[in-house]
Amino acid sequence: MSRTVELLRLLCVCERVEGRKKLQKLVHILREAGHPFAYRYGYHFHGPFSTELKGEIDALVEEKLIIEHPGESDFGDFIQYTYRPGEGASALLDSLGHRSPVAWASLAKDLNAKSAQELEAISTIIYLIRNGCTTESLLDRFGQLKPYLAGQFEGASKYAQFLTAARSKQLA
Amino acid sequence: MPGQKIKNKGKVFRDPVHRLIRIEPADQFILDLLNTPEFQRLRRVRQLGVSSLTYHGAEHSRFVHSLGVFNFAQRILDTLLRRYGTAHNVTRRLEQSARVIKAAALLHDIGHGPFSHMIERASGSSFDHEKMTAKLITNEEGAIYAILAEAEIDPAEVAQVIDKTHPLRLIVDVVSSQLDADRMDYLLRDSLMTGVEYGVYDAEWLLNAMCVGRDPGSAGGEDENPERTWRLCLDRDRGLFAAEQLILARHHMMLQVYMHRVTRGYEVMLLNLFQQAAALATKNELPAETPQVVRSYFRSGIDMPLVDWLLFDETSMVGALQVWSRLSATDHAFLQRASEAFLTRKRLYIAHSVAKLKLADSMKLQDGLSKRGLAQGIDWGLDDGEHLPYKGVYHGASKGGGAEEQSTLSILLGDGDPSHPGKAIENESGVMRAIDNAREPVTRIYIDREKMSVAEDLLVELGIMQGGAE
Repeated sequence: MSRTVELLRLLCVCERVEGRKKLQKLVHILREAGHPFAYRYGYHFHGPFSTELKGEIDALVEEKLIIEHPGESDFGDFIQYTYRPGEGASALLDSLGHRSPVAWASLAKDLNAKSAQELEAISTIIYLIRNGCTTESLLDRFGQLKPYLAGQFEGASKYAQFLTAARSKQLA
Repeated sequence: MPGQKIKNKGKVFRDPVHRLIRIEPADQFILDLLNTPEFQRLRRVRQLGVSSLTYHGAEHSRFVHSLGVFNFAQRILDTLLRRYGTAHNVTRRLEQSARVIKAAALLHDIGHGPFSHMIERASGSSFDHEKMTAKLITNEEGAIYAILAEAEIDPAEVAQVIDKTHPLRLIVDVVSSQLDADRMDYLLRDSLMTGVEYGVYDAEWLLNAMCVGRDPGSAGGEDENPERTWRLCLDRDRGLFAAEQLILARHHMMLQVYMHRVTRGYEVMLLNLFQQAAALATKNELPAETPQVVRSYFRSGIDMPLVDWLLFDETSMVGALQVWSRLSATDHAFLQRASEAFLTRKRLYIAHSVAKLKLADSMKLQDGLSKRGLAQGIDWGLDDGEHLPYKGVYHGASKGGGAEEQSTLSILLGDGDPSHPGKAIENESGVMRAIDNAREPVTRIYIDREKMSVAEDLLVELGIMQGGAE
């Protein structure tokens, strides 16, 4: 239950998330920063992706606890979806006693203000670090996987390393 | 590493699914890998974990499955090499990577623990079988690293195929995708060994229809390295029906075998049991008689020493259950009761389907059980289909998926030209669209049969008891 609650809270905190890719990467980064978004992620062509999260978003959309709005995308024939909390989301959280502010709210807002590409870069770097990629080889590996995001590397790697260091400190 | 040498005619294994699996003399490293302690350990880890408590034939190991995945991977390679011929870029690239692909296919499961998906989930984020696999491959102290290095195969590259961060997605696709050698083998093998014949599909035709196309999410611009955009596809004219059959086979195996009510009940029981053991380990309170390698796992997770990992298998885990089943019920009530129940095939929990429950009501149910003093992880457990270790069958086509979803979740159809974009199968197949719309979540709540009276009024209030216990 906790991860579903956190997902609903995330939508309530962010109010609006532009795009499926952005939502996927946002949750991944929060998860890797140590927050309770217990969705399993694998690495795919476009970076870390969770089928569990995808299934849960679909179910919440079906029940109108999340509103999904299709719009035009910059990406060929594909659709870009916008996500907002449904009308019943806050009431449900209240009824279950989840009224208190969440520890990750400011990080979520900060991430949501970034572009989908920035989040894809941060999320990929965190995934590589978690899978044992050394600092020395990070630029090479990132360049191989995301050549079209080369311009994002410096900022994204600083952000990712800050988050992973904070996480390690928290675990120590 | 000294050992068996492959003779000129190659090494051949009999196999119930493939009939014969052949290792060519040029692939001596495959036989050497097969003979490592890391790979031989897989003989003692069953592919389907507790499914044999439901389907008594399901005793096959990850060892035989891994050999089958190797065979399908080498046959996929053969198909593509034949299709594209000697002068093609695809052939040149695949020939360069053939040994990496074969090694990754063979080794892809070596990081699985006993009763893998339960023991992994019980350990929170401290264990991940893919990370463990990569670690075993790149461990310079291990036997695998030495064999790969001697064969001039980069262990790090093999690990990248397994953790899916290899820059050439086509190579990853052969081992892990919607159309991979892993799935091709497990469906046929699990079907054969359980006796559930719905898992059968036309593997020969599927292989015959494989080709290469461009990822649907890539723009195909001139500044893009074309090799990086290649994806494993099925020839649209040849492969559509075979792909539909594969997906249907998987759909039926999910419902009949992988999500079977009784099997999942034992999985919930083991998950709860392992979570209790993990909690005791963090307080250094695991019973003293617990086998050393099991203690090592719960204490160190992915950082456990290699010598311990090589003995951490179903034999040692069942050994722990035997020890725990004899504990004093006053000190370790749940550990004792659940271990004994597992060993004697007694069900602790009663299952109720909550698939039709709205998420809001599902949250209320879980909240209500906790407020009644029933502890999640001991007195009850929610079995949510989304936790399945197998890739989702339902998600591919939903609501005109975006580029990332089609690239990640769909089987791709192509015309054989690697520069032409693959198209998601659901765009071409009414059967696939129908399957995707016929979403059948299998979600159940398992409640301790001795505590049912405490939960009954809540279940009735939420309409769960109307159909009675399953």
